[in-house]
Amino acid sequence: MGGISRISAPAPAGTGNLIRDSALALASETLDTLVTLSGGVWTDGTLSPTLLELLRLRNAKSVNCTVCKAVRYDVAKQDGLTEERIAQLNSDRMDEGFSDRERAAIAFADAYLGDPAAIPAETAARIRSQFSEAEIAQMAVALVTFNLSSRCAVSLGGLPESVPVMEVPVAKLVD
Amino acid sequence: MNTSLTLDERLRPAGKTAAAFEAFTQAVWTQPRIPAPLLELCRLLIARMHQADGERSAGKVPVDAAKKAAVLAGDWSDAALFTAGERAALDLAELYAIEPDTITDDAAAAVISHFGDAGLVTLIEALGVIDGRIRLALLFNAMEDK
Repeated sequence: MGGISRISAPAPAGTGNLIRDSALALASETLDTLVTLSGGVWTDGTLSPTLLELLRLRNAKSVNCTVCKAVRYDVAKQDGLTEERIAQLNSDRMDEGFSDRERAAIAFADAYLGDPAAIPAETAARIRSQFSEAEIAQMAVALVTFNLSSRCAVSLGGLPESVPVMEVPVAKLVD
Repeated sequence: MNTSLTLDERLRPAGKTAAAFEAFTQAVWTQPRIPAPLLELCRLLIARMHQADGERSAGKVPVDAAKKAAVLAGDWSDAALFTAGERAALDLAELYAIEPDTITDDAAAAVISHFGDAGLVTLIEALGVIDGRIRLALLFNAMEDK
């Protein structure tokens, strides 16, 4: 990883929106719907910001998107997610400090990111016991959104080898 | 059985975010930069890599039968019936599905030479939608079976 971006990105549009001011703006026909989706995942559902951030960071680690791994969305921090718990998440030390619901969500993410068809029956049952159908669907949409965004960043190239942790307002994802 | 093409019904309980994902999916499939039949070939290629057999018979848009057969057989890279642009897109799709960080500068440049910078961004977004929907369909099927 590292090196030069594979595309000639346009000058930032200066909108203040992370997506609109990025190279993704080149794909003008899909831009509005991507912005709506990326912001809506955080603002239009019933899942807690902490739970969403755990899913996002689990995905970031799996894809190894250095920028995604460094970002901390403000709403999750305000919701009580600490760097200590994030470190536990990243080192797979989840025996303590995570609720059954959080562990079930992470198991759902791991199944999606790994071999989705091979999810163990016990894991599937645990997820169903912790979340409603609507919540499972919300987690699914959130995961696919986080995953395609991280994969997009890696695929376009130019990511730094490492990035310091940085807090980002979710408002920068919302129009 | 869920497939990447029928997934929206399964996601609908998510409400507004499901609708937003459906709208993004629709935008990806109808944009003018990467032809929908080429995206369909990419979908079949990625489905094959995921061993998602339920995706083989479903079709988002009509495609040339010989090209579809070559992709499903895994010998598209040897088949002379593909254009250079189609080869570039399929090559990138294959690398993307393995891991995005296996995409080489040459593979990306080949796509850009046929579809431009905006085409590369659009294709990568589309591959994310395709791969993600196949993954979710597989995951929901497995959860419903257990």
